[in-house]
Amino acid sequence: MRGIKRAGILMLAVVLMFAFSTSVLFAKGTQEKQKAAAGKKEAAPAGKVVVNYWSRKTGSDGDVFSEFIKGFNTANPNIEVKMQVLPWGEYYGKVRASILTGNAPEVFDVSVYSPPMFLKYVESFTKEDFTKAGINMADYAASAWEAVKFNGKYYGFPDGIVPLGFYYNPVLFKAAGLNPSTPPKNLKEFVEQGKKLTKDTNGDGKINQWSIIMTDNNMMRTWFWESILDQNGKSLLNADKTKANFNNKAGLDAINVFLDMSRKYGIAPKVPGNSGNAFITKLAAMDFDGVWTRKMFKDKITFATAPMPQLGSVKPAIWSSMDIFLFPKGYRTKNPAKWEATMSFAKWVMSKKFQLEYTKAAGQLASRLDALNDPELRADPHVNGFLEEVSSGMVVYAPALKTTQEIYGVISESLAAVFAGKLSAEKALAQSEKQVNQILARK
Amino acid sequence: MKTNTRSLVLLRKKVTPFLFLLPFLSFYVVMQLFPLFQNLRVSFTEWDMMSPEKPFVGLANFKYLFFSDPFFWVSVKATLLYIVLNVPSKIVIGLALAVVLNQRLWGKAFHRTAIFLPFVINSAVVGLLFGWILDPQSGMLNYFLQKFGIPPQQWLVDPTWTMEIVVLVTIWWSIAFNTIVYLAGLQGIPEELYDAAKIDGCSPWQSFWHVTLPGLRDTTMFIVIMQVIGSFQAFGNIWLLTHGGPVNATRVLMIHLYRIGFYYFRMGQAAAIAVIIFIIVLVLTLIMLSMFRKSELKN
Repeated sequence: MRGIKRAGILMLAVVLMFAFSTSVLFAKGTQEKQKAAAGKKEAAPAGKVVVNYWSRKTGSDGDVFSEFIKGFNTANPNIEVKMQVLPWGEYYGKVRASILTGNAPEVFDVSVYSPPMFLKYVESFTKEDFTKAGINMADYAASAWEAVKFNGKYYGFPDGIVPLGFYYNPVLFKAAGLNPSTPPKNLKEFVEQGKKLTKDTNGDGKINQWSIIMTDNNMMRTWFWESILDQNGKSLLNADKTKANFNNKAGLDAINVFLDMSRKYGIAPKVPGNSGNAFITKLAAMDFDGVWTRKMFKDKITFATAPMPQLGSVKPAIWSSMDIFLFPKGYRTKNPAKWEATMSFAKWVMSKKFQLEYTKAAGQLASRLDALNDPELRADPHVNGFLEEVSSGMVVYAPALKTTQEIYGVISESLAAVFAGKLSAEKALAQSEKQVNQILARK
Repeated sequence: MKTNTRSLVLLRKKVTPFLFLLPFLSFYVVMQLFPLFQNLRVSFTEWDMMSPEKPFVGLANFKYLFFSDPFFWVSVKATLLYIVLNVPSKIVIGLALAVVLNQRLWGKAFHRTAIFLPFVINSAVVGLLFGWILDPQSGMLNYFLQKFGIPPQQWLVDPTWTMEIVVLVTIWWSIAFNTIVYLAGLQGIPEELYDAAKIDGCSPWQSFWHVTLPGLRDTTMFIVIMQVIGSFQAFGNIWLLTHGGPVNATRVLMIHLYRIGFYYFRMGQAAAIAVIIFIIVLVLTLIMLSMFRKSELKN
């Protein structure tokens, strides 16, 4: 019996040792892989350098982009760009895991507030680098370069600008006796026109056309609230981004202006909803939405765009993100052929032809000035409002911090409670301020 | 020589079972034990999922969760509410269905299949399916309600009833598990006990109370433990229905863990939540086991 027990323990020890050694070997292999990131990618088809590009373009913008890439691959027979679109929810986790395990793609895109998460792990550039690469920085919006600049270095290529903005239905404007070429520019005009657009069209005593439906998307609501906060002369965080700066009259007014659409002016229903769908189904004559939505609206409804009306009291402003290309460290020094191919692809994305065509075909706006000022685009009602927002300098980029996503997370939950009638605006701001300061205070 | 052969045979006898166990044990150690201890280690570190360094921070992650995290207690509350609503209702409904299906019933096989079918659907599909059905603007449920003159309801948008709706969906999806287990338990109760109860003049209700329920004690213990553990692990169906909202109404611990770990990349804190869940489940299971044992001894 004792012998059996001893043998059993011995066997178990052997098994455990085997299992742990497998784990250790596995872990060690992972670390080695990480060190040799650049050299260990999959074999390219004969004579071709493969460039893996990971993207969060999950909408129609991704479809358009991948079609454009086919053109690039045809024009560059020695390079094959493989685009992989990953869902938003898991995107940054997968990119991080790929960097950790040494399987990072050669290039990936991020939003304007995400580069700080990756600064240690991606290539940086100097002005000279861009000049050598044949990219004239003066050809692009200065604010776009500022968005990729950290600690005096540039950490990526500003691929495109993605602002929020204002859509309206000119047909419903005409039917309400309004001039579609003079959409509202401020709160007074917005309410006046909104009252004319809010009506019972079938005579059943119930309103079936609202001027606007407030979005039920927590994040979008937060970004629009931040836009009005900026319009009221304040910003989300203080100048050195160490404290919350929104628990004040400007923040409160920014909430109230949206609540008032229903409770004071009666031009929006009390309950928020899918504002884009409401706009398509003509339940709403106007819509506050992102530039990316225009592609979805295009085939479904007659619409026009205008700069976001100034609903705040100080200046015009609108929240914006950007699409930024980042390049994981390793390839530049360890695999020059791959790096060169990646740079060819990046330069192609920054070219006037691509930026212009992509802006025409998809959602986001070009970061190139000549594409932004293209006369054909400027005359296109589907996009000219957004272009005007960028060129007039009213876009405000989301603050770039490692914790921005988390900060938006806590604010959006508080605002959701306000719009659900579960929390007062004052309490929501105080609660969010405390939480945001806790996040910012964390090392 | 003879002794050598005998000891070789003896050794083979001792070694062979372990060789058969080796594949499973290796898998168990690599995929279960190792991650368990690795998780415990990470819970005492600060790790952003990318950095090769994981600095030791002691109990800081636990301290943060208990005293500074704005959503930890919110998610504990949501988890407890989910358990309170989910576990008892699934036990009662599961038992009721099992008792009905255990009777001589027309189309018994069909009914059993019908009850079991939702259980084979993936939780992600259940989430998406009910997300469509309950959509306030274009959902099927509101469409039918409007047909009967009832105004559309803000399903999954108004936080007041969201948890109850999530639990109802979970019951529809997973009630088959309890039903099948209870059905097996019912079939294990000797028929003679019912005959004896009948002879003693017991009504059907008295038979159920004095024969069926005591006969299902072990089954119930198993179900309660499994349901409590399962409720702490609830994620997929809730995530796809509500993402933990609205206003954190359904932000159960697993959703909080996922957000902290995979949205905000604070892996140390996410691992600490996993450790807390593990300890809670362990303690609850031990308490429940001891309660059942005491009641068994009493009987």
